[in-house]
Amino acid sequence: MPATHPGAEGPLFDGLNVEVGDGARVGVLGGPKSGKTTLLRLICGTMTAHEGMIERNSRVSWPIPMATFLVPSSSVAQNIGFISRLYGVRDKAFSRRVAQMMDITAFLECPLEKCPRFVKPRLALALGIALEFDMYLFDGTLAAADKPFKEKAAEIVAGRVAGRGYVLASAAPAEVEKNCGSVYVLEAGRAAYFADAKEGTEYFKTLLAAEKQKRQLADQEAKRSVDNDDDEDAAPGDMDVLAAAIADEVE
Amino acid sequence: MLQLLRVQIQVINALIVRNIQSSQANLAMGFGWVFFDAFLGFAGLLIMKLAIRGYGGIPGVPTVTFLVSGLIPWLMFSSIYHIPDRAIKRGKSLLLLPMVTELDLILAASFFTFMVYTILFVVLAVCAAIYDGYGFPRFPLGIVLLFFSMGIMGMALGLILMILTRLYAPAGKFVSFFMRFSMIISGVIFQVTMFPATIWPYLAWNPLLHVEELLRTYWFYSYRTPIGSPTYVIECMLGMMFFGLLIERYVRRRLPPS
Repeated sequence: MPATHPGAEGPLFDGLNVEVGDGARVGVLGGPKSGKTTLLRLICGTMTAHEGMIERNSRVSWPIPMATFLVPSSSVAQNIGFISRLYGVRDKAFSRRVAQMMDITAFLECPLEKCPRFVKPRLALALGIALEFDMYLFDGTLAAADKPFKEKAAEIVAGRVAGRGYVLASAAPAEVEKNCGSVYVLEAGRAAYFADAKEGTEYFKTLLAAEKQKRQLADQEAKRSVDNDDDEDAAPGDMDVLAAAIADEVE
Repeated sequence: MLQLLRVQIQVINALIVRNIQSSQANLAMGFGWVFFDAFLGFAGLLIMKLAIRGYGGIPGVPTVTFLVSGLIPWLMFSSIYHIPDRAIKRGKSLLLLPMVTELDLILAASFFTFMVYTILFVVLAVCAAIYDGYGFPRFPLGIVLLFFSMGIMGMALGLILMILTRLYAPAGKFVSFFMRFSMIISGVIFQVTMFPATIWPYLAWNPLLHVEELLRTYWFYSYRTPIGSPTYVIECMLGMMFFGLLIERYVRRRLPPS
């Protein structure tokens, strides 16, 4: 399945083959710009691949904790109301339930832009997991919340996704190893599958180490060429020799 | 099929409510501006029309009501045809939600603008009727249907233009050029009888002129349009909408927004 990264010239994926079964907990590991978020968008259907096929047989969430659709000038309740109307939630207590889940009930009527900073990420996470999906997509981390609330958020997410599938796209092998059963490692536009998460994360760590070593070597090479240039600059030129000769003559 | 339609209505409803809420939060850039813009255009044209009163006016047709009957639908059309491109640019972040499509954004924004202009049309029509002392229109249902068709044609033209602009950027310039003269050749300020009869067959290609002419015919007892054809309006409306939806479906998520 080839797909192009927005703004990129060549294809981001080429020959990519990913399968996520019902109730599976799949990790996607990749470095920066490897296409983790693009893959999640392809899975949820907000992007289409230029070739190939994407088949969905279940209700899939958007990449959580996406917050771009939140309106800063609208209140927390209005923002929750938008998502509930969008997904046809008829429960009138939905707003309160979502706010209670993340301890932000006190800010329900407050415009989002005037709320404390922790409200927006908590709201984004709460909206993603409050709705019933068969599969949840997490971008970056499972429980994206402020530090004091992170533990509780992780508990809430764990409770919510129990019995359901999810895909966690991350660059942190430890989190993927802890939370996922199998792993896809994105590398040069392809995905290597590991049925055992530990094996996948080990492979990813090896890739990271190799990448780091390559970068260090490149840095050293660049530094050495700069040093050589400096040495050349320091070597006496014709004018310097001439100036020294004139000085000797004067003496 | 019905289930899909229900979901789309649900999505459009959510987007319209979101539009209203964000417009309320910023009144100056929301409803306020639309009303101010329309009032300003109306006042300018009224002054112009009053200045040339007596030159080719229709006997028994009051000036203010004449202008309201043609100007507000035309303003709505020229607002709506810009919507598809703008709605997608403004709603880019919403397209990251799997439920929302480009067409939903366009439909929601168009419907929102249609509602605002409908309110404006009713308010101004009542004010004009009181000012001119003119009674009830001759065929109100016809006026409602024509107003609606103007909105649909605006949205269809916007859809077609949006796609054409993505394929060939200067395409929009041609329509902007046409829109500059559109107010005159579409019968917004002057009825078609003020033009020489020899050019009527050429003017009659413009569906907006048909709508304007029919609006006046259905509004005033003393005016009968010589060229306005409801059949032509329906044909153009359906044809443009079909073509617009067809190419939108074809290029959906294939071409990046311009």
